[in-house]
Amino acid sequence: MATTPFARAQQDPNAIQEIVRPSVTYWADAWRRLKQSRTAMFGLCFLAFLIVVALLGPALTPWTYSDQDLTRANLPPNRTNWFGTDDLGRDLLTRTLYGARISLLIGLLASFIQSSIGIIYGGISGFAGGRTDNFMMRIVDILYGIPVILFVIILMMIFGAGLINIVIAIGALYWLGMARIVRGQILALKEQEFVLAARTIGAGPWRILFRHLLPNCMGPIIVTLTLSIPGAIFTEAFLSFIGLGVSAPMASWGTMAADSYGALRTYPWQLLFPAGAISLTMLAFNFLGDGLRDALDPRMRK
Amino acid sequence: MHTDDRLLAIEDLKTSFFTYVGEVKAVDGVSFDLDKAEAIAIVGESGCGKTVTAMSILRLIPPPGRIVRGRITLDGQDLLAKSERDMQQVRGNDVSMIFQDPMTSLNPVLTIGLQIMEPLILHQGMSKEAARQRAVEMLELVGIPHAARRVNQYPHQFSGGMRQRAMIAMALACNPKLLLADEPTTSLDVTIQAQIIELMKDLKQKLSTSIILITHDLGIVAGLCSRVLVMYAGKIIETGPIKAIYHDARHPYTWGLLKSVPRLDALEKRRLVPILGQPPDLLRPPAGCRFHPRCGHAMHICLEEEPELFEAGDGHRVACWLTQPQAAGVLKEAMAGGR
Repeated sequence: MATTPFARAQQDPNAIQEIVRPSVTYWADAWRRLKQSRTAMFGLCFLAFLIVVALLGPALTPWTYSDQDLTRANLPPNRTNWFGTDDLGRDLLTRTLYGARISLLIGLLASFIQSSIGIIYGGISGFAGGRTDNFMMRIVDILYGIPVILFVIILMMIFGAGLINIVIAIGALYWLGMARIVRGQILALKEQEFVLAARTIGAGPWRILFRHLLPNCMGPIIVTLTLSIPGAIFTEAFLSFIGLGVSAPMASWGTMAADSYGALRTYPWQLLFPAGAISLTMLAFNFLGDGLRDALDPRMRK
Repeated sequence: MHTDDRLLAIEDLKTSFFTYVGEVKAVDGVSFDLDKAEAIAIVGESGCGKTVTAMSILRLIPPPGRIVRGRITLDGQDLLAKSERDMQQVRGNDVSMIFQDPMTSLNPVLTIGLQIMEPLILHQGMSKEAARQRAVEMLELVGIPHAARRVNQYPHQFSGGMRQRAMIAMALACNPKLLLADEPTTSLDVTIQAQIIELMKDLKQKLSTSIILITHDLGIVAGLCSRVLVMYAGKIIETGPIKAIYHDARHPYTWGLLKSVPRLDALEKRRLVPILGQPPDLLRPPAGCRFHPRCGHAMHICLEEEPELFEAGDGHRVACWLTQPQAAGVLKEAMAGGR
């Protein structure tokens, strides 16, 4: 039978329930917006590059970070030693790359510790609310009033210098900002109806906090985390600079800067490379953090 | 009378919010009961205590609110005597709730599947795979096509009506004895409203769940519920079988509610008559009948003495002085004026 345009059409009854619009998840959308930010992408690429060379770099140069050769001391940048050598004849490129490992490791570990403390503390404070919240936040206020760097220095004096101790000292004292941010988020979120809905299906307070509330604050948490990493790296560099950092012959960017600033007038490149590395890394993390803040802001969603 | 069919009994429930200006009596001496597989509706304006009644059953009254007195018995268990931990076992398992706005009552960062699985894992000790399987079945049951694919999607990928279906799937996952539906259709389009009511009716039959439907819209009640409670200012002012309420309402407030429902099937042109004024401030409710300041037929006694729930025949009870024989004259006047 020939079908005419006016014959009854066959339709799939399920089709009417389908939403035609393609769905874009929150993270895919955030990634799309992050890609639009040139500075954030610069930061991301630089950090990826830094991580790769920090992992592979020291193995690719012919020296190790502690190889000394006094006949080749204080060389300016040249073909064999791209970044020159220091006063003990150690290759500065190798030491800078090795320092990247230490600095990044400290930055990431310390940020991880401080974020974990801050998220749990702020989460409990905001979710409990009332008197508990008041009490917990006054403790934070008091800690804010004390110069943290002094605290870190005292801790380092007690426990001694060393990589792990730096991580612990920074991690244990810099969680205040994260705690405040998470608390603020939780305070706003816990009034939302889906929290009440979670209660009506019998979820307990811990389950609501960790499963329903904290995943909803991932945006601000990631931004704060990203912006706290350069702080930790800088604190490590500062501690190393005043002699409380990692001990020789280990190299971090801070110890390298400390070793070389005396020779600033005669061999300026010895300071230039570690200082430049610190600056570029800080800049990259800050660019990335700024980009993430814009990308994860739900009000920016289109 | 049928004690074995009785699911829920609420006696003299009183829930108040103790604010800094004083005690707000949101629910003030409410009593009713509900049989197994029965659906009733609680009807009234905003702020008359419907939602607080439902939240009292779940014991989820936010501070500074508190259940002051009363008894809530669910299937022989005294809910008000339970510890918070025991209540968590009741919520979602024996009693669950769906909300007005499906846009905000689903967690935006968890998949629909995970949210339906949650009560199953919490209450039935199911493994993740079994719970996922059940979540897919539940989504199919509430009429979501391609459930196996949909189960991994997020709430923003669902339309409003589908989210409400997902909410219902989540609430019914553990096959609860009682479903509290707090204005489940208010934020939906009319066509979707009809679908959701139809779905609830269907599921009530399939799963024999009892339903308390809270609404301010008398129009959606008829298809689903067998009895209606009309609440005003924290009290039940009229209750009865659905026919009695629709065709033989005795309380002027119920008349007002019925007159403010637009009807498409009315033969002659009919004016929509709003009830003038606002519900009273429950901090200082008016003396006498709480409705008297807004009532067009108030008598002297209404200003002074509060009416109890008088019997008006066959489970129909009304808290209004007009039902008394002495008020026949005023009642006649009221009926003549088209109520």
